[in-house]
Amino acid sequence: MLWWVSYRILLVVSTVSVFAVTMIGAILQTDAKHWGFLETTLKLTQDWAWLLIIVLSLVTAACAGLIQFLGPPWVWDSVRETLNRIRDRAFTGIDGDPTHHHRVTLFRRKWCWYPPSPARHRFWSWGIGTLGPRGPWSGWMVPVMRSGHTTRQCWTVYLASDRDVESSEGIVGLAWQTNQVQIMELPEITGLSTLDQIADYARRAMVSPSFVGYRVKAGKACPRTLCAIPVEVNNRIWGVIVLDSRRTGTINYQAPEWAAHLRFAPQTLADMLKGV
Amino acid sequence: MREWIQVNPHELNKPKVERRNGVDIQVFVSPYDIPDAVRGNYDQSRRVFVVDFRYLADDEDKVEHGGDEHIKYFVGRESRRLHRIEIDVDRLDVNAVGLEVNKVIANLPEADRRPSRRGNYEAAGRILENKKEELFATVGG
Repeated sequence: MLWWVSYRILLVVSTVSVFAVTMIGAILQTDAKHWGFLETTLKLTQDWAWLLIIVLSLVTAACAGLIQFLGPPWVWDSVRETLNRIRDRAFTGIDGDPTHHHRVTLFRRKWCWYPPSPARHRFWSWGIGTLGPRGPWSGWMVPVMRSGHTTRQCWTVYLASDRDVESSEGIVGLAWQTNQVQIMELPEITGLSTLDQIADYARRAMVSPSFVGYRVKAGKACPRTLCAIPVEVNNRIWGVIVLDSRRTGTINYQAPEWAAHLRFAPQTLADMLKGV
Repeated sequence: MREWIQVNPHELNKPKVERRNGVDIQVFVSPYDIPDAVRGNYDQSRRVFVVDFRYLADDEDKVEHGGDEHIKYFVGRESRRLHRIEIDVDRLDVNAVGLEVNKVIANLPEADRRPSRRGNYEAAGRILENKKEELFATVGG
């Protein structure tokens, strides 16, 4: 709801700004003396036109940037609905489980402006790689939408650098790097797991032990089944859909209908995400 | 122009098991790289046999990539997916066309950019193998 309201306000403000700049341009070409009671107002506008045009242009640019950043809310509503449908189709034997135990998240590869959590390095949250310090620009898989109505706030990002390819993190980084669909099952991790078990899980999941340790400490569940499907838009890899489940055996990739599920998601999303 | 021949993506995209960091990963080719249909057509005017592949996203320009004077390959400008093969059937032995194409697809140079499209080239090769009879019927006849 907030998204819709913000988007509409930004659209109105940017339209009004463009209209105001056009009007100021017209006022500059007119003689204020011929406009009777409006003379003072027009004179004032003409005197301050340079400042008004600069300010209004900046407002228009800022609105355009925010509109681009937010994206059309109706598109994202459709994307969420598609993720819900993927969740309903792709997982098997999950009837009765809470929605957030089996989720579908859409990641987009882009800059990560906020410091990744957990921090990849003690003094520099984005971490330091073999090719030097990483940063927001290094290429991160950032969650942009998630299925369901719970645990939709997701800030966990994964490195997917195109310079330091081998350092890609998680199944999401692997799917982006290889452009292949990847499915894996992982051991169970709980609050009682030992450091060795956490390290083993992290190695298999292709993240650092501190990454898993952070999740365990924060009381977040560590998935047992992961599936990553690349998403292409305009024939270029755009992002990755990740299916995660707290149980094993919930993705029946041997079933004939799995091929149809695999095609449904990317086909639908590729059309929706054009221009976003 | 002949009709498209549908292909079964389930048959074509079987998982491969790759062991990485001690865990078995089921790996599938990206669904964008699996053609959903193929068709073969003999172009009388140019005397070439044309094989076209159809994909989920089929809206990009094609450019020539690899091949030789007898076989030309056309891939997507952005995706580098294999979209078309043109075969000089006057020069190549008609009965061996399917075999020849498969051999060349196996040696088709990787595009000089990521992501890899090897899975796409292999899938196209398997389609040619499986649909050989239907595709090249007009050449044989």
